[in-house]
Amino acid sequence: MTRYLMQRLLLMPVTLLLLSMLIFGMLRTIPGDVVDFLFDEAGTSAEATLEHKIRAEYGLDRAIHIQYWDWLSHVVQGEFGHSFRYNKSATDVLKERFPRSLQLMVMGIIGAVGIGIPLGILSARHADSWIDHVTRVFAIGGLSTPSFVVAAVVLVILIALFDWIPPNFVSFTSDPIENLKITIFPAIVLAYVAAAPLMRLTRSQMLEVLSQDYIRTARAKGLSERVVLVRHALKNAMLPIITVIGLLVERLISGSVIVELVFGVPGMGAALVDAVGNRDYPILQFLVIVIGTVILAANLLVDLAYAWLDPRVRYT
Amino acid sequence: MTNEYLRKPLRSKLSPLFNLIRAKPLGAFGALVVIIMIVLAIWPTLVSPADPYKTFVGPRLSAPSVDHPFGTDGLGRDILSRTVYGARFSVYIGLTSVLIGITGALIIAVISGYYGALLDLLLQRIVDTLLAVPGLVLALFVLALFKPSPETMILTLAVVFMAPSIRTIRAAVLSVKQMPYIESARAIGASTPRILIRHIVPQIMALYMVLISLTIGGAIIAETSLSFLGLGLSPDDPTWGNLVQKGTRDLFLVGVWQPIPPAIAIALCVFGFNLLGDALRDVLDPRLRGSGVRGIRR
Repeated sequence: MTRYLMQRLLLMPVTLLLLSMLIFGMLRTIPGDVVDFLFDEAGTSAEATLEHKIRAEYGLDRAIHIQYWDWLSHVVQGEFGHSFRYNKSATDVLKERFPRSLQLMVMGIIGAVGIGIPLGILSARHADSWIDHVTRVFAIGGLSTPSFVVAAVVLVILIALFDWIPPNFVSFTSDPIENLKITIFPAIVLAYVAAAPLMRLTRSQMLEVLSQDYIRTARAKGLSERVVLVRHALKNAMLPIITVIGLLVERLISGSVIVELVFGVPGMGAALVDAVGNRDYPILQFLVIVIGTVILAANLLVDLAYAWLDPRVRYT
Repeated sequence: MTNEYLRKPLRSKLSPLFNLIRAKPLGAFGALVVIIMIVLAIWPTLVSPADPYKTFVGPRLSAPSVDHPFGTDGLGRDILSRTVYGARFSVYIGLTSVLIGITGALIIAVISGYYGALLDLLLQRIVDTLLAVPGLVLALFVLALFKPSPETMILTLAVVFMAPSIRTIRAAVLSVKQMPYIESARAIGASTPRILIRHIVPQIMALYMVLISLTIGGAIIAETSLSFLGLGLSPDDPTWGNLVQKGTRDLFLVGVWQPIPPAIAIALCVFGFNLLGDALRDVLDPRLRGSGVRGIRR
């Protein structure tokens, strides 16, 4: 167990290092850098000397491995570079944007658990009845509908029925009520998209557990259905459900990129799309690495939690 | 024998079809949707009343009417035509990218799994790296570097969907590799390429087919999401993602109906491919049922 833990912990920095090399290499070997882009945007013909000067200023004229080494030595000191477009460091951008995305994701995951698990239990309890069919279609719908489509449908409903106008974003700390009025809708979209896999898994796990002998015993000794479901079945069914949390984090991150844009929440996803549009390399590579770290950490935590909760699981 | 078969009424000739529908109603429905989508992708003019690129075939932003059943967009283009032509982009990009991606995954996974050792270790660390970033973010990043075209989109999606499939196929290769008949083949002096192609790959084919069918839905979701973000093809091309994006932008002006037809088309298309994929998985490789093998990674 300890050995496995050590392996996983050692592997994480290796993966992150590889990720940073991959991203760094791709950004810099593919033709068309930020300088070309800026000149294209300004519509002026680039003077070779000026272009050269700007490249030298950004340090883009050096050999790629020197640039990477330079970047890496700054990263080790906690400096992730400066935005090419805005007068901000990458960490400032993250500090400003990350809490907003985190808020959306937390709201989304609370919603997903609140919808997905009860519906999964309901579906398993009434397997092959019309309740089961309706909830399963609801789940397959969630898996088949991209988050931007769900977001578009929510927008259509809001505008057609309530003449909704997207308000300007206010942070949670300055005005919680106003903030919730804005974030509730993207959170609903995220919750639906993330609830679908949760529901499918809860259903299949519950079905499996409900067919076991100890459930029949519990029923035979006259326990109420509620106690059998919640205290006996759900407890055991919940274990494998933890393993999809890694998957949920992934879905929530991709989903938040979309909903932040649709609903005008200036979070990390919106910053990512901005950085893509602006060819803002330092921000782009920093955000991708942050996302990679979050997912790797989530997967590691899931594995550990699983081993801790289920003594039968022993990693070697 | 043949005569007897021919004399049978039509119903019994079609009975395998009816059996399929009875046994797998959802899968049959999925197949129907997929067939319709493919037909529309090849012959859009069957349904489409106008040229999807032609502007001002009707008034601007008009509501649904007899002439334009789904209304028109901000440039007076017919939304029904644009939605129908959208199937072409999504089906073409979805199918080709998944075919390239999963085939690439098959080749890499078989070599990586069979040879093991250092090559396997290296390849698997690269797969780890690709898996550490959500598919959409990875695709966003890659597309930012290239000029938008169907080919870039296809290759990007192929790479994105390759990584998770490499994992799944490699696991299968590792278990097949242990089987006695592989050892026998080696003992009688079969060459490595022969073992790989004649003995290992056939064992993996069911999984390969299942992965392809289960990944297409995810690829279409990724393609439409990326065009929605403005990273797909040209904004004039009637891809479903573009259409929903334009529709939601125009929502605040007029025309709540605008994003609805392409949104339904996307959901229906992915739904169809997913249902068909699930049914194929149950038929081709029942062991995978409930094992969480879903190519979809978003």
